[in-house]
Amino acid sequence: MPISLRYVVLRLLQIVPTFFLIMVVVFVLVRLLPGDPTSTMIGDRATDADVARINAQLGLDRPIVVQFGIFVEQFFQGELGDSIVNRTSVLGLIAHRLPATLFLTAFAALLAVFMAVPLAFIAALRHDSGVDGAIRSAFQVGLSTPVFYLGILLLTLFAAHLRWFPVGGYGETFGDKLYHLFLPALTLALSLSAVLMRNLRNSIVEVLEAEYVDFARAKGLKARVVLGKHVLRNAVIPTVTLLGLNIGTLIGGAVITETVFAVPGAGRLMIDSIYGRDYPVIQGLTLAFAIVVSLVFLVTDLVQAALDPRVGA
Amino acid sequence: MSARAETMNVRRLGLRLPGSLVIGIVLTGLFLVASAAPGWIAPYDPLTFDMSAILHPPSLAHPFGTDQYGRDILSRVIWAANVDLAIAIFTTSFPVVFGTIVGAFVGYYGGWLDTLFGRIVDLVVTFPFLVIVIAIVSVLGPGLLNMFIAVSAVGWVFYARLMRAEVMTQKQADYAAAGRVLGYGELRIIFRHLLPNCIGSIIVYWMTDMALGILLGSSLGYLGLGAQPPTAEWGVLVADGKQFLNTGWWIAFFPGIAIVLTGLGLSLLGDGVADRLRRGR
Amino acid sequence: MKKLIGALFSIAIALAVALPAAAATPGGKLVFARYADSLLLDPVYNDANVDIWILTNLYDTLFLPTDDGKDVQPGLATAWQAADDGLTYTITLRQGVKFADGTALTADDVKWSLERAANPKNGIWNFLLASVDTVAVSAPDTITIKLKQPDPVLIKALATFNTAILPQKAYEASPGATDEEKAKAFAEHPLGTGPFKFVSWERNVSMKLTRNENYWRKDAEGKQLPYLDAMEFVTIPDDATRILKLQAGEVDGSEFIPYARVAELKADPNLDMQLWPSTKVNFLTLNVRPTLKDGSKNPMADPRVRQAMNYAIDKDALIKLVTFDVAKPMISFMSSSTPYVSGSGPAFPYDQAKAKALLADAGYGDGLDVTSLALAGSADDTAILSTVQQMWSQVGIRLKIEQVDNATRTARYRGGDFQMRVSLWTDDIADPNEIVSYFADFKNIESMHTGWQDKKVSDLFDASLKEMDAGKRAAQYKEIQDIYMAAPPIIPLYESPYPVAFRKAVKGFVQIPLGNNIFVGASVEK
Repeated sequence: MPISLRYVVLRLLQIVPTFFLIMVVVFVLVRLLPGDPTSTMIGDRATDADVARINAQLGLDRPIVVQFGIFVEQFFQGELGDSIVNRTSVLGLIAHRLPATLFLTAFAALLAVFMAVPLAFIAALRHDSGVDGAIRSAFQVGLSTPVFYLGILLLTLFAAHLRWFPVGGYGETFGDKLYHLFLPALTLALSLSAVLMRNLRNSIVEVLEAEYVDFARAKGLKARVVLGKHVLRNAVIPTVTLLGLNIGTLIGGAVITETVFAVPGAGRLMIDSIYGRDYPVIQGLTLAFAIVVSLVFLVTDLVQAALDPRVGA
Repeated sequence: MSARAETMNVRRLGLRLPGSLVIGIVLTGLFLVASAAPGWIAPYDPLTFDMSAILHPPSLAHPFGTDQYGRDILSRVIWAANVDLAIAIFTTSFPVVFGTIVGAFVGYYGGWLDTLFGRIVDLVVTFPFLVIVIAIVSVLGPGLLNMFIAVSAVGWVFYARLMRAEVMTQKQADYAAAGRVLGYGELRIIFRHLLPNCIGSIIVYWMTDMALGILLGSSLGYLGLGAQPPTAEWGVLVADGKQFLNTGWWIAFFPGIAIVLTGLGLSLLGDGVADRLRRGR
Repeated sequence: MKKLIGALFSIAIALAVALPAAAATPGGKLVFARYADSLLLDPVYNDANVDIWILTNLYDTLFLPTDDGKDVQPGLATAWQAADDGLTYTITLRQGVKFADGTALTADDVKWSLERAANPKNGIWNFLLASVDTVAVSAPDTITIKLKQPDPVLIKALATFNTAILPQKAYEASPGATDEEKAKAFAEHPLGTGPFKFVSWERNVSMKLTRNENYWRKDAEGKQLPYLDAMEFVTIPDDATRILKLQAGEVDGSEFIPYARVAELKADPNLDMQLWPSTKVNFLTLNVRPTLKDGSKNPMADPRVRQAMNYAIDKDALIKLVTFDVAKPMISFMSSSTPYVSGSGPAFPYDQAKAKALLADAGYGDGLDVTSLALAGSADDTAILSTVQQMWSQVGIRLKIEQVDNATRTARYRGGDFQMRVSLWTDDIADPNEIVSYFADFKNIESMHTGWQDKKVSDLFDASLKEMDAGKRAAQYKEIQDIYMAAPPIIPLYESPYPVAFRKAVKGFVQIPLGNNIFVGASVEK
């Protein structure tokens, strides 16, 4: 197996300059957004003197280079500053909100795989048949329904009328969380599973039609062995790639899901912070997301390499 | 099994298109027709208020019902097709072309190019997609053009990563190796041999992505950052109907159906085209 | 005059005693769903309604607003007396009041709290106490406030959220180098004399309160207040989800019901849809400076254009389309719940012909183009502007809608880089002084950043701040409103109530016109 510890360390080292670049970009970008945290926060009624006074208190009147210096200094002391809007520590906010988003995202990814993989196999084995069409159409409906609409529909049906699930929120214990997050995770999973299902189906069809499968069949290998050996391996690689690729999208999609289902997650916090121009929180969350997504990518790469020795490493 | 073999045989003769592809073509065609000439098809003006027809359920006069201002939903859905076609095309055309080419080169050459690409991907993808789009739209101001710019700036990476992975798997294949042995130029190998073999999943993803583009417009509409009122756009129409789920289900339902059918059409078309490309090679 | 005040005061006491009308069952827990969480539970440094509107459940002020929001009743103070020159107020404090943790409230706490609230360096509300010179403890149960100038609104200011009384010792023991840092730390675990005691707070999720065992108030039958054993505020930003939670019985009450759904919830037999009279006014703010930010001529600098814009809107139709007949037309720029409001009938009744004539007169017979900012994602803004767009198109005004996010809107608005925007306002004090200083007095924030200016109005307003005679003040405010409303830098649209829905079992909730959510008399019946 060509995955060496050296490869992993190298990948992790590559991430460091990326993170620094991300921080610089975000630091500058958020300050380019029209508006500023102080006047957004104290709103329409504040006088210019009020705004100036609070800006001075927050250190927002200093040159951007100085502000960045302070930020970096804080960072190396393990601090990310205080939220301007919420007036609590950014680290605390993230520690509090990120787990909900990660839980939701992982749950959704898992549900998506569970829905997509078996049905993709069925659709591929019966491709161009009525079963195939039905499966694909069903997923397409899930994919094409706007998340907030789907969310409200699921809530109305399963939570308000049937009372099978609670209307939003986030539980305390693990089981409670599964219970609370099932509907939001399902909402998120439906669109992802549609993407997974379609690509997986097409990959399998492609492999099934490729010559080497015919060749294997000709050699008299059992269909099951053919499926296991060739199809699965060649079909799983794009699936893993897609899953990894879509983690960022999934976290982004969590923004709206979290709003509809009242899940106190980091996606919603990010949107609120962008709207509120809460610079320290945007910076901190970007870093947190970057770490999460980089780790997912790393794992994706490793899995790819493990499945297919020709890739990377 | 036998039924499948039969259709396959028929298709190999090139005489008939599979049913799913036909449906895909028909649905996409409907979408194109509606967006080409909404003024001829729509029974009412999509913007004019009618105080005498507020929140009317579907009827003969208004097959899809009316909204809180008495505007005809059918006419708004038809007019919105035009806007959504633009969204589907413009959010994806730059990403698909640019991303595919970049992905092909990166996958073929690897090395430092791959490392550089890896960093760019990290930079773009570590930002959650929707969040980046919202940030860009906030800077540039809401509206469709800025949405296209924002989506394009990020979207190409997805194609490039997909293409890269495909090319890396394919470049070891016999025909590519054969091409090298025969001394073909590398560009020729990439564009004549690798690209056609890898394009299937790109096309599949592209068709999905067009539908996703419409949905993104809807998400941005929900957040108020997409098409600006009074412009009718399916996503915005669904978002508008959110308040009336219990008292006027038709407001969100019919635009929602339009999104679903268009998405279905595009994806069936994508799969069908991918199948044919694969067989044609 | 002192006698008169004393007489009024006994009326106020009678009102206060009458507060909980229906018999209430003590005990139980109430869960209330809010659209957004609080940010800073400090009376002085907060700046948002999400804080202001619930502070009274934790903290008390010396006087409390009455349920109609127009007057005051005794709170932590039981009586007050003004010297003849109106410059010294002697205030008697209620005895035996304890903070929720059991420590006694002292006159020093009161003096310190008021000085902190009046300090011009602290927060954005100190202007409400601009007249205060010194606060002194003259006896264990008495404080004396000396003023720089007579202030007819002082007692009402002492019933406003920012003058809440906090425990000085606990506050000063909070970590932090500056007063603001201490405020932040203290507000994480607020402590006051209010009906509820703070228990825990998970930001953007829930805030838990329990009854304050030491609370000083009893109801008319002598039962201890509050009735509830516990309260929880949960944050649910999405309107539809908030309502579903209520319908599923997972929460007991829910604020900000969209107008589109008021009728539906009214018809729900399990729910009690309440519409509380408010001081909320909805209007379009116009930029009336002679030139726009880009240097071009501003048509709205011409009073005739502004009048035409006003006449061209059919308010009744607008109210029907946007609020489903929940709101009512405005008669002035201030709400009809604001003291000293004046005006006869709806402002600028719909008159298309007059609007056209005014436009032609102003040289815009061929129409004109204007752009309005709208808050992205706001159903209300979209509905209002879509409707206005249609109505104005009838007289040749072509309205373009530009949605921007809140921060962008605020920046452009404050920078004068806008033509018009959708706005709303609620009073924080039961007096017109606040709304007039913001809407009509240029020197504060350039008349809501419109650039509108009138010397007569500013002079009248300055005089009203010192005028102790209620009749004369009423006349001053009438004149201000007459001048302002002749060709206002705003387009008054409607005044709207606060829509709150509860399960049928919940009784006794009050939202006063200033917005305060008052749960002291709330109960959950079996």
